[in-house]
Amino acid sequence: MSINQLSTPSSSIPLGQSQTHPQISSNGNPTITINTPLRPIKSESGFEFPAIWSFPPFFTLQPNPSTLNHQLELWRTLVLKWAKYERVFEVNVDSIEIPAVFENKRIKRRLLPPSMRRLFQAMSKNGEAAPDPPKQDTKYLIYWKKPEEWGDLIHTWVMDNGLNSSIMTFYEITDGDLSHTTEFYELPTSILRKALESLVKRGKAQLLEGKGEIGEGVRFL
Amino acid sequence: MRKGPGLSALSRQSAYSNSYSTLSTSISTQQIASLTESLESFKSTLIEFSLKHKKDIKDDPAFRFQFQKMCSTLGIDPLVGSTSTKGSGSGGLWGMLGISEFEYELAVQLVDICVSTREKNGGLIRVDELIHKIEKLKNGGKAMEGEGGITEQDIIRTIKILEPLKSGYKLHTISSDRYVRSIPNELNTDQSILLSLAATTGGRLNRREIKAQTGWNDDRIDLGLRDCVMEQGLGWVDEQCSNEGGGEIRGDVWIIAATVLDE
Repeated sequence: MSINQLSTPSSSIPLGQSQTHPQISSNGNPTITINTPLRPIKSESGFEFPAIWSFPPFFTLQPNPSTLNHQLELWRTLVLKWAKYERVFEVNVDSIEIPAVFENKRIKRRLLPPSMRRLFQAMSKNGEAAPDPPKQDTKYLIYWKKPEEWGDLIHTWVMDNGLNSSIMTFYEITDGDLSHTTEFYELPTSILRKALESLVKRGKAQLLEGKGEIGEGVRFL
Repeated sequence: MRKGPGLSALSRQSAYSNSYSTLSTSISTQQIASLTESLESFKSTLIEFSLKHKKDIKDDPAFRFQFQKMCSTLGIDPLVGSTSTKGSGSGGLWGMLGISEFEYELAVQLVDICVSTREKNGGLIRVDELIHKIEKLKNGGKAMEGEGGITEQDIIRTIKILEPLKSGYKLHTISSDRYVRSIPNELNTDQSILLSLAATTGGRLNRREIKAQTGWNDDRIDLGLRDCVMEQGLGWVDEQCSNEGGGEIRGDVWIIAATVLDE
């Protein structure tokens, strides 16, 4: 099916080559040029955003259900990869400061809060995120490692360092001198609690209530 | 057989068993020889048959299906085997029929890529993107360089091989770009025109531009864009462009197959 019957100005444009520079014309706003092919972009911190991140409709949740499915899958993968790279543990959907992954300033597109909610709901369903506190849809924890995985990591570290004889406070685990080099350094308390709870469930730890100035503690078994 | 009494019975016994085993060996040797012979003749008959009906096998899907059924009943894989006979190179029976292993493999990979990208692009993919992805697949994730590359002609031939399967793999030329469509759903004229427009803009379809190019009224534009997005899954909506208007679909529509993504 060849359809070159358009006798329009478009035929004077070099046809369909990847070198074309389509313009996003906008009323009032200065024109943004999108250079194709769309390429992956490296952020200042060195994270590489995939080419689709420069595709303007990527930031609008798609009305076609099967396209949407695919789109959410791409977003989920991207958010997990990004959060892991940047060590992001929490996202507030309504925050004025938009996390880098959700906004592409070059093409002036962002994932709007309702779309972000939808994405995090999808991620929560997959165990890749969780609303924290539960039963609201603004603040989410991002599980680029699942709580059980954090639990295992901490447990191994404790055993390797012979810390299992003493009781440790939450702070010591995530912010203590010994944990500076660990992956769970500065892990938010909410994730730490879930990680430790998973250890308790498996009989590998015991939680101790805090008394007075001393915060909560944990004994590893 | 009765053993019988006495020492002599023992040696008689061993003599018996000796001659029995000789007999059995000679019988099985004979059987194997005759079996080999009949297999040989069967093979050559099968080859003769497939060569004689080459055209039917290639052109008539029903006939080919029966032929394949026959082969599988007999436990013969038409893709492997008799490289020694007739020396048609690789690829067994199919090879003799002019479908080489390379083409067969290419067909499988082409289908693989088309099916796995369908959710994203609605079953429409640019030939060069397809080639790039197949080469990556062949090369274990890395882009291929220089020799051994796949040409557009290879793709065209492969599509022809797939044609009898009636799965709807078709080559389309839109503007000057070639696309493979992997869904038997026909594109109507308006959609085709929209695609040819998108091919000149890197994929973006904007109402005002469509109007300027085609002179269609708003309803026709809306319907065309709606079909691209909702029916075909070819288009992605960008609601954050600052172009006002639109019916069911608001904003610009991007035909992702016409956008070059360097992945």
